Amino acid sequence: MSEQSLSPAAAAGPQTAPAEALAALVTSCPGVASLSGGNLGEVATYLPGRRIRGIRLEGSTVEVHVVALWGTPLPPMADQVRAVCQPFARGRPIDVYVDDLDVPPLLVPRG
Amino acid sequence: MTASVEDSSTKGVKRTSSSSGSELTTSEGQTTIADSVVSKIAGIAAREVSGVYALGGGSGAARAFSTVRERIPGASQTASQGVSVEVGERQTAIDLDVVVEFGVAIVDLAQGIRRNVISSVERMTGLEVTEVNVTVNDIHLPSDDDQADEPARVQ
Repeated sequence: MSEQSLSPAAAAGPQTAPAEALAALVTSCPGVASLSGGNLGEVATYLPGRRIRGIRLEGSTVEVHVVALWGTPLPPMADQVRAVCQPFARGRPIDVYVDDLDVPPLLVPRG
Repeated sequence: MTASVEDSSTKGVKRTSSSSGSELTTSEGQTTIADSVVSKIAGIAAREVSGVYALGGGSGAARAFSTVRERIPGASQTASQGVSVEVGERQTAIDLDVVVEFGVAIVDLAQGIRRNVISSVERMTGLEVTEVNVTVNDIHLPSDDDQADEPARVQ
């Protein structure tokens, strides 16, 4: 085990913020279509020059907002997201919000 | 208030009826499922059932609104049209407005809709569905389609 693997931020490289590394991990979870910024798009980590949608690492809880893929059982997906977030949470609770569902166009009625 | 018989009130005891074995509220954090997620699942599950012509077609006002919406370029029906939901931490209640096809047994159809909606929502979200209220707003007659296809008699 190298020392780098102990710190997620260090593992992701010096230029990558923890929120950015976490965003990549969360979107790679099966069943996660994308990250969601909430109703107004305000849920984000605000960094110099950019923002990471759907991830809030400050405060007493970690918040992750996702859009799920159609057909995914949500509780196991949330468990997986929570597991991925664990190294970033430093013992804080991790709240997973499923804000929306990505539905294939075939299932949506034509207007 | 009547409580569900299967619900164990003992704290710390997990509900065993959940098929996925996963809980939405854990000691490591909560899982919150948005209303729009539940209404999309319920809308698609209801539409899947044979005998359902469409969802929506509620009160006069809702109909007028949907007629207006049809004329707005770019506006279209959504997966959650005709669905309204209430979502709590562990439970959800669903109201559906449906238009049925002519020649179905409405009571049986409603039961089929209810079954499909409950199984889809519970399987996907892990929420317990407390009720599914089905309102049949209209019946779609085969002649409704024919009329639309006929050319106008007067030019």
